Amino acid sequence: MLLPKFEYHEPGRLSEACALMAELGEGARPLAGGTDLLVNMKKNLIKPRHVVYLGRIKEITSLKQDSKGFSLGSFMNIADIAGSPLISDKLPALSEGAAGLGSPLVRNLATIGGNIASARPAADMPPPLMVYGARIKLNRKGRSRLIAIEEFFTGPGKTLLKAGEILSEIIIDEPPVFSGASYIKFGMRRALEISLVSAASFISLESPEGIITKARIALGAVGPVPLRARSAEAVLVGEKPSASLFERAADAAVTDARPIDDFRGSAEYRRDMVKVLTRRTLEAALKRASH
Amino acid sequence: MQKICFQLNGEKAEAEIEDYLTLLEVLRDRFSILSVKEGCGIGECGACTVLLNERPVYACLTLAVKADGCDVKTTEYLSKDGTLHPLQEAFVKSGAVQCGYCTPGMLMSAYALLQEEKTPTEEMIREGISGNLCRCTGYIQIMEAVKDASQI
Amino acid sequence: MKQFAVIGKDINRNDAEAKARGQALYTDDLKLPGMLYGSILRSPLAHARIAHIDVSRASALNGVRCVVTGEDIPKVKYGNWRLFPDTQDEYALAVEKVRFIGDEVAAVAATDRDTAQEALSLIRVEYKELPAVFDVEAASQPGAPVLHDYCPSNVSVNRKIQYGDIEKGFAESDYIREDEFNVHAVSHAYLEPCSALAQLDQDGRITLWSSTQVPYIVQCLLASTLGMRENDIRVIKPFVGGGFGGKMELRTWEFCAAFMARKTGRPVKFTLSREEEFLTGRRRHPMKIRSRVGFKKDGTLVAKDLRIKLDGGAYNAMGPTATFLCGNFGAMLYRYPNYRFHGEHVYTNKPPASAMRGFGAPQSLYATETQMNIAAQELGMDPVELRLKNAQVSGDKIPDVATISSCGFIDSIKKVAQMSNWKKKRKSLKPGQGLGIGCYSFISGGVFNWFNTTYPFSAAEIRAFADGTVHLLTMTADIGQGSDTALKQILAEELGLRMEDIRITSGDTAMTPQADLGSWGSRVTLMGGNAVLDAARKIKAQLFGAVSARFNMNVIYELECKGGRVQAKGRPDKGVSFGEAVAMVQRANRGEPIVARGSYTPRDKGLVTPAFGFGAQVAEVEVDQETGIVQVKKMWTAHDCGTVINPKGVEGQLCGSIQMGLGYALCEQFVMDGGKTLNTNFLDYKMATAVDMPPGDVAHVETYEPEGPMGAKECGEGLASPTAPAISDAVFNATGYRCTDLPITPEKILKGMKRGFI
Repeated sequence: MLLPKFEYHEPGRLSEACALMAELGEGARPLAGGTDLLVNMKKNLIKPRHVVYLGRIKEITSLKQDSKGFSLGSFMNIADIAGSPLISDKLPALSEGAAGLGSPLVRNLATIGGNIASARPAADMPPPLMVYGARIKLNRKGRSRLIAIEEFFTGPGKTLLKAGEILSEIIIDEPPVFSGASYIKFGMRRALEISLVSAASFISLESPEGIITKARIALGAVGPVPLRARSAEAVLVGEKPSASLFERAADAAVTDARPIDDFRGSAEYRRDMVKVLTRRTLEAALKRASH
Repeated sequence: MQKICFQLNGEKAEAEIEDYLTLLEVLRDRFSILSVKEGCGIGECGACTVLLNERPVYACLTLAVKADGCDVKTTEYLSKDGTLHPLQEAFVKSGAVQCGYCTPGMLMSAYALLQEEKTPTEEMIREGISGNLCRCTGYIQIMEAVKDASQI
Repeated sequence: MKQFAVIGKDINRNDAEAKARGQALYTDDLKLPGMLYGSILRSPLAHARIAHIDVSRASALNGVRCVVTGEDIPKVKYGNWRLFPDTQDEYALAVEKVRFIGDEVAAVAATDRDTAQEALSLIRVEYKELPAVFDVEAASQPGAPVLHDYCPSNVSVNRKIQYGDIEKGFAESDYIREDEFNVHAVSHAYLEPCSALAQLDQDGRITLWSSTQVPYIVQCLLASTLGMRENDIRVIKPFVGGGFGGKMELRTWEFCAAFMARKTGRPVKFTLSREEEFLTGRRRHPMKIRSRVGFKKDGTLVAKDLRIKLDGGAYNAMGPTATFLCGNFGAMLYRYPNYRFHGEHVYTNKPPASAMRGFGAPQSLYATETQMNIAAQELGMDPVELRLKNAQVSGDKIPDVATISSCGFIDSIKKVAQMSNWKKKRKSLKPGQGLGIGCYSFISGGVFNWFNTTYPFSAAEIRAFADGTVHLLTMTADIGQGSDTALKQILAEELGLRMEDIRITSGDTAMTPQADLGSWGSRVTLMGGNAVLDAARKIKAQLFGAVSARFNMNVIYELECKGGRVQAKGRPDKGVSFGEAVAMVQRANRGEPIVARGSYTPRDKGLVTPAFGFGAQVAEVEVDQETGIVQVKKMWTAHDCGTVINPKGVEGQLCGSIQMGLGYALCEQFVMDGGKTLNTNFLDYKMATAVDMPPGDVAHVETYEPEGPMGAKECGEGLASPTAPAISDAVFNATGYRCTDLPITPEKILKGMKRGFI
């Protein structure tokens, strides 16, 4: 399969990239791993005149940790995230999301920023990032803005990203003690899979045996964008974790989901799976929280 | 047009290429590296797997310009001196090769795995080649071959 | 059992090293000076009349050398069933009408791929859309849209088999079970997309390199569609990246490459994209199967009434064979004293279905085997016992169908039950765990001459040299299954040579002897192998004569080729090396080289095949009862392929067929919206990856097939059938959900579990 013709650019600095994007305007697309963009271009779904490759920008390729938390460069590779002991230890749900993404060959190309910015409803990075309360930094020529990741998505393939803007960084606060999170990607195959449904849950406890002080649940592939299951979260907060509580939360999550019938599965089955996955991720999150 | 300069199977390689060409096209059309096969063109089958800076990737989803300054290895590298690499040998002996179309890509994924992990578990082998589809073997003899090669 | 030197040994494949080095060249790897790149314009509509095609803008595009449409080509229809010209229903490019989404409308050849693509977008086609039909029931109703004028009923093939007294049989039955099964379309999904490269030779003839299973069929049909003589066409099969039945006809790109090469004088190559393969590619026939079986109280089968409607899609392709075979397979495995079959091949506005590994058996046997499992349950019998009670044995005659020669079916069932610890395990399963069984039988090549070949079904030529080597020439097509290696082993065994003493040339219609029908129906080992043996014996006769004369041997001596020598049996001192023997014959013939031709054509072997393979398989599954996800934990297989020629090769076939069977059972399907295929990539066409494959154990239940070379028969294709019913039975065992409409999706399992047991 052939790519449509375009002009290629590879800026070495973020400021340079922003200037270039501003100059090239609407016809330019930033290129990260290429596992979404190049596929869509080969299928003739998009035909940018310019492609701006972000991989030579050193500033956006690394993981940083400070007293408050973590900063992940948007060009961080999915395989590196999956293989990072630090992420596995501190942000296990993100680690789970990265480890299950596509295949080893996809993970070696794909980046966290690309997975977010392509805004596929079934993408694996957004649900865990949403439950960790991640914010993302968007850079434009001369300025930048920070927004909560869940506000970023506006529709399938659509985001708040403006023409000329580049997603540069993902910021995650260090999760508090007695908190835990988990992510499950659900599909027919165990590799090379796009989620039929995915779910991430985060809970924070007052004490190892105490009540839930904070809960976040995010669902993938059951709406035009990754969704927060807010009524399910409401069920949890202030309560002591129990099987029946998680069951009720899982039921509530079903009402938060907005799945459609498509050729990959029916809305009804997806709703059933929202319930199962919500409960299973909550159980896993609890185990981590009370550990 | 872009000028790229990279290491190809241990040797210096240079080419003037159009911006929109993939590494798959450039390796096949400019360098006659025909072990890199196109099975799907959109990063779902692994027949075009090459090592880019020692990591296995889909050449069909890698712009050739990205290879500039990088190290690229293909199946040809494994038996560069004429003799089969132990991994290739194991593929031949275990019956891991049938139609052969997935074989070069499969070898590169397996080779990368063994570079990183000398004695992988069965689970690691399965996982390591899970981005490479095969329609003939059911993967069983391929996994045996990788295991055999790891014990040499 | 016979002792062999080369047969039954784990010999490395002939081509494994070249493939492992990445040196094996497939059609798309070939490039000729001045070569043009072809591309095909396909119909976006399922059924339409072509009002007008304007190619002027495409033709005018810089770099475009040739544009053709149905108007430009000779109006010669083709199809594999040459014996019945009525069934030949396809033009290389649509003439007047398109009949499915993807039907080929025009082709361009340009100096590069980008230009060819661009040219396609400049062709304007005016269609007048026609009502379309996508379902076999609707299509076979009066008043349904008609796809082909010659066939107003849309039923293009009718096949009936009847023996015994079916009414009486049911009247005598104590237990009758009737079910409807709906089985779906799946893809061959070979890794190498179809590709063809044609060159106009200097004398005006055509050479075509093609990714095909059937060089001879392509040669003949290409000649007729181009209006040339057969000998004007040379088809060469380079390495082929899998076929599984999907590359066994003349196809549009092969014709267009040749036609356009002749028009432009330049080589033309077409290679399909994966999207084209999935959107428009051949597929396994979906079938609607109604099966009624009658048993005695004790489980003895009395009668079977089988009605099958095959969803053929828009053209016959290999549908007629599939229609015949699913009726034949319906009568296999068990003894049905009274049997009736009616199969109808129905046109619909969908991509044509055709041959695919198993050729009607996976569908037909899914019904047979699932119904056996249902019957066992309702009769209160163990499924293994019910099978043993009714299993066919060697010598059984199926009127109008076949006589079974070697048969290791009962041993296979017993063996697989023992390997899987069936009795004990079935009783000790936890909720969500299941164990199930499925069996198969399959042909070793067909005896029916639908292609109407005037040559032997298989042929071989052997040239022997004084340096102790031989050259085997055969038109058989190794498409990855390893037939070149198997044939070399047969020859090495017969001539007492080593593998490295044999050079092989195969799959070249101008260089190898006429003819071979190709790689399908598991025919090559038996038919090609017999042709090789025939030629080898002629070589031996000459060598034996010379050696006998040289040692002045008593006529009662038996001679043999063994260990690189030609000698008296038991008297190795009375003998010479193979090369010396060749030199002796050559000298006696004043320098004439030793060449022998051999052939095989099945005669007086019934209507179906000279020999059947048999086997049984047990699947163990674990079903997540909340999600319906099935994990296949292990597969056990016991099978009879006659003599095992190459154990590693046989096991490789078997593991591969489990991957395909598992997909057929659980996750592979074409998702259709009317005539449109929605899942046109490997992400959404879900075939198992390495992490999805279960481990397995295999037992070869060896028999000696008298009709096969060295006792060998079919292997690997029949095994496409038992996996789905075995998994299905295991899922039932685990969940209470019995699937009668494949695939067994998690969603269906959950729904089935909610409904409760059937």
